[in-house]
Amino acid sequence: MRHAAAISALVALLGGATPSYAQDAAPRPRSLELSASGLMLGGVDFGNRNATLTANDPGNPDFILFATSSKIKPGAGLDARLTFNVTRTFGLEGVVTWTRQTAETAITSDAEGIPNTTVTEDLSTYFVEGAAVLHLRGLTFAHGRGMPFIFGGGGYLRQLDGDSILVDTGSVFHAGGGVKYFFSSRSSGFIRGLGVRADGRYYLRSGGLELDREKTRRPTWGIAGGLVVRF
Amino acid sequence: MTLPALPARLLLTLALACVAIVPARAYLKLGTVINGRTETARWGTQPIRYFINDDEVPGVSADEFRAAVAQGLSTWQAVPGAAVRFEFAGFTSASPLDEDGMSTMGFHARADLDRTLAATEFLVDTTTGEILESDVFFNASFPWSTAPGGTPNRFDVQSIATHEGGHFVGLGHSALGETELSGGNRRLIAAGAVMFPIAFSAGDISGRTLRPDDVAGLSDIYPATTFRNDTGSLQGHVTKSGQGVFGAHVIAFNVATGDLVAGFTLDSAGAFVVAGLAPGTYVIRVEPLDDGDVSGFFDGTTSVDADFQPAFYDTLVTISAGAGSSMINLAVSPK
Repeated sequence: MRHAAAISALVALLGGATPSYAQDAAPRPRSLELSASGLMLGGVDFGNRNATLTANDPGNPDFILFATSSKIKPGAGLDARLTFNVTRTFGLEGVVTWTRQTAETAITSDAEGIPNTTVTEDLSTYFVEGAAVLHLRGLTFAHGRGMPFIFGGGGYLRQLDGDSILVDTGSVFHAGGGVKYFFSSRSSGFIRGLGVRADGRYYLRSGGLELDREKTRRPTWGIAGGLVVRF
Repeated sequence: MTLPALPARLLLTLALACVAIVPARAYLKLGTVINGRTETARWGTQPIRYFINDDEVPGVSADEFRAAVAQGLSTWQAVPGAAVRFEFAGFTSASPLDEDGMSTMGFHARADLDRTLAATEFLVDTTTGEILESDVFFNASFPWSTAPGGTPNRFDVQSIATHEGGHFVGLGHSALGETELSGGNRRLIAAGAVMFPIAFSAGDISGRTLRPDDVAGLSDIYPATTFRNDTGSLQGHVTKSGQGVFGAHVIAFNVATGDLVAGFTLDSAGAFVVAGLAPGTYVIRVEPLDDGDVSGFFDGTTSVDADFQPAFYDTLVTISAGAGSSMINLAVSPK
């Protein structure tokens, strides 16, 4: 709510105080952009694992005490990007992403008849990344107000559980594409433009909560949408 | 140790005969009560020297017995998180049950103990908890084998030596296993630890391989330099109708690796600690101690509450290296 209020105030400030003109979604060289987006981050499926004992039966060596299936469910969060536009086409970004997700393990087939159940744990996942963005100036639309872009980067992953205990750290890489649409822009002043952005990303992450033995990069997806302010 | 299923007769046993044993914490560890506090029973000097009795039994020479025992002990010595070493001191004609200052392992015929394959006795310094002597006898009334792949209808010396080797260094029994009552005796269905008190059937050599519960137990008693920093612990209480439960078996299941490590609640408040857990995310399960004779785990003065239904804790628990979990409360319901 606090974030929403702050963004609303910014919209009011810019929209009410400045006339819009000369619409152009391509940034000025050596300018800054700040964006804040809501994010939906995809989950990870870790598959099945059984709790096994060694059976007193050479022909059937595993006795299943109970069976589990684990995953991290998709979750919502926030994505903030500060972009330094080196040229009208190319920019460098610092990115901070936070998402709230839930890890869950479904338990079945208990040998002593405990009913099937699901146990969970809340997770806060943070990405701190560097990225590069390429504005596709040749594909502008809506009279130059809208422009697609592609981006990619990587950095640090940190995951905490519901008690804010560190679960693990790791690394993350992402690549994606989206569009920006500036509904207000001007050629002077501190704030030069205000618009919206929407994008989709593909993530590869390693580290963080691992609910299987596969020490591998895990793919997941993200979609984001929010406001972008150009300075 | 004892056990299992012979074709004609089910052997069940009790592995442990010791002087002044008191459960200390998880797995179980053995201990002594000194001035109201529990001291873990452990050897104070290493290498731990042991003698081998030179008696032989059909199919097993003294040298074959020595080699099989050495293999069993080396399994413990190879645990990376633990610092324990053994040294064969020589053959002896002394009985494995003599209190003579020598730790001796050997065969000893005890036909009256028809459910006991082997047992370990201790001499413990009751002022420090230090183990001064530990003797292991293998019941010569049973058929034995040291064949590399085991021998049908004969009990595997190395497997039983591995189990008794755990007692020898101060480990109590693990309750990670499932049994069933058959003809008034308890039969092993499956075990998740070498230190489970009921042995695999004759001919089976599964008992040669340590499981994570065994490894955690040994490492907790004889931690290698980095062990405390590399592992974490689970802590909490088991309660029933608001009251602590004594003797509840708490199992930690590592969701990523499948490892099972367990402990017990060991006071009237139902408190438990399971140490030596690899960092990771765990499912916690609690069950009553109903897969073995209570006397195989606790001394006769304790009253174990087995009147509750097994259950899972409703939250995944993260264990970090060098740290304990937050306190978890496992509330169980009466049967």
